[in-house]
Amino acid sequence: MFIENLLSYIEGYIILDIKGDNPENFLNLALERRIRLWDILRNPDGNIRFKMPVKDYRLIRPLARESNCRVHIMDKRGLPFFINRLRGRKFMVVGFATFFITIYFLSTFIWVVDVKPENGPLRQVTVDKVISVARQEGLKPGVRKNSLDIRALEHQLEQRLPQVAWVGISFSGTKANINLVEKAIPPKEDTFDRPASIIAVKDGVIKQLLVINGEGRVAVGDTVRRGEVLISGLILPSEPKDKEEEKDKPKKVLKPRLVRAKGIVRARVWYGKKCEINRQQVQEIPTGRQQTAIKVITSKGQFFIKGSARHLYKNYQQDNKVIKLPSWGKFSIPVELVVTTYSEVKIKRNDLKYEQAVSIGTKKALDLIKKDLPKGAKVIARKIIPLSKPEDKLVRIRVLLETEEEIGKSVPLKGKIDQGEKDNKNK
Amino acid sequence: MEKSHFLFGWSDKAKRMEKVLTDFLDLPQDAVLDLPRLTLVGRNRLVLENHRGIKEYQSNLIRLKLTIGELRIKGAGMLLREIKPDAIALEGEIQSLEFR
Repeated sequence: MFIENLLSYIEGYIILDIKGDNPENFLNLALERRIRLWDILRNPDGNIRFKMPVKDYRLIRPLARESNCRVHIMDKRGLPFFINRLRGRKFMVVGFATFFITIYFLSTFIWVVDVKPENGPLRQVTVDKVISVARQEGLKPGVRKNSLDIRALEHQLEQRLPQVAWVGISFSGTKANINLVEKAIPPKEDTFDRPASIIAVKDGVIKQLLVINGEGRVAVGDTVRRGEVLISGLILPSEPKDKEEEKDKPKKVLKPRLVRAKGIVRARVWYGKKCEINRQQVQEIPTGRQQTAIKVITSKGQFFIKGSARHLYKNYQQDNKVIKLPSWGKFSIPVELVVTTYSEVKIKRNDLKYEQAVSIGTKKALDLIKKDLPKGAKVIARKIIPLSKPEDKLVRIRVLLETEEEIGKSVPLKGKIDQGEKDNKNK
Repeated sequence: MEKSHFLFGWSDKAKRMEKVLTDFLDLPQDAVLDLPRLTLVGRNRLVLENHRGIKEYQSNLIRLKLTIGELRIKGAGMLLREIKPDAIALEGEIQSLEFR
């Protein structure tokens, strides 16, 4: 239907009125001549009004004479007539053409330069710095897009900004986006050389202790608390064993030394989590029935295009979708569209058996604990302790987990490593 | 056809033969026997294929010529949406269809 309308518009059609005693006869004659007519209306005054292709108009005249009817052209519509009319308004056509050409011409320029860091905010360079460097390299508002060599520009920017690892330039419309990735800051070399101790990050019982450097302060089987020093970076002078040695070099040994403690401390650690499960489970099952409401929010208020704030369902889930108009630069249109979908749900009550509740609770508690477990933790044992009776509605359980894991963490000490120690390392 | 008795009788016989043949071969009757085909969409749109012309056209009554007589369509606010040599589409509130 649409295609037919479009074709008749392109072809051009005329609206005619026929006046006469027997307009039906005229219609039949037109049918015989295979002329297509459409939208035939009987006016209250007895005239018949219809539409026909303009190319068949010369066939109509003799038919009107034959059927004793008079034909009047009421209107001419379609592309041929439209073009004809435009011929009389040359300046309007020129104006339109100028407008589109100008829009096209202006869209080949860059009007906005934007900097977009790929990984969070910039730390080493500022946005202004990047824009000013880009300006010096030729990327600035008012430059034609075709005149820029993007690859060369990216390379130039990478050269000019040593803090930047990668530059990508892309155009979206009249906006140039400079995407940046900064170089990662290398960790400072000297932190490896600073004296440090290893302390416990968790409570536990030491299972394995391997001291590579420093002085072990705990032994296997010891219970340690969080924050306790495991391997100290401060090596205290040992009690001289042999008196003869003491005589040889008495002063050097007595001085405490600072080192960077190194070692492996594995300990058994316990985790406990409580979990409550209501045996009366409430499930929401969607029934498939939905209602949508569309509203427009402007700065002056809100009004509904479709539906209203009221809906028919007793139990429902609500889903809001906010559609904002795209903003251009600093301008944004303060109008948004909110599509709210109310989906009806059926509430289904489901009573869990005691065993089911316990297993669900255990799984929940274990999932919670697993979030806290560090990498490389080995689970040794687990224990489930029910805290409620089987006839209770609320099932409470406690899950205990025993793991073996590394609990050491380096903490810097004040002061400097003794020269002698550092020299040894360098060798 | 109606002018000569001789011809009328002859063509009547031929028509009967045609009907027997189409029944036997299971051919669609409207195509072979030159019958009208009406397509009614709800009560608002009627497409009539294979018509023989328009006898009367008013907004509350439309009379169309067919090979098998006449079709009277009564209704309200009816208009001919399109007329082509082989089909007529009309729209409006259709109240009754009557064959004469």
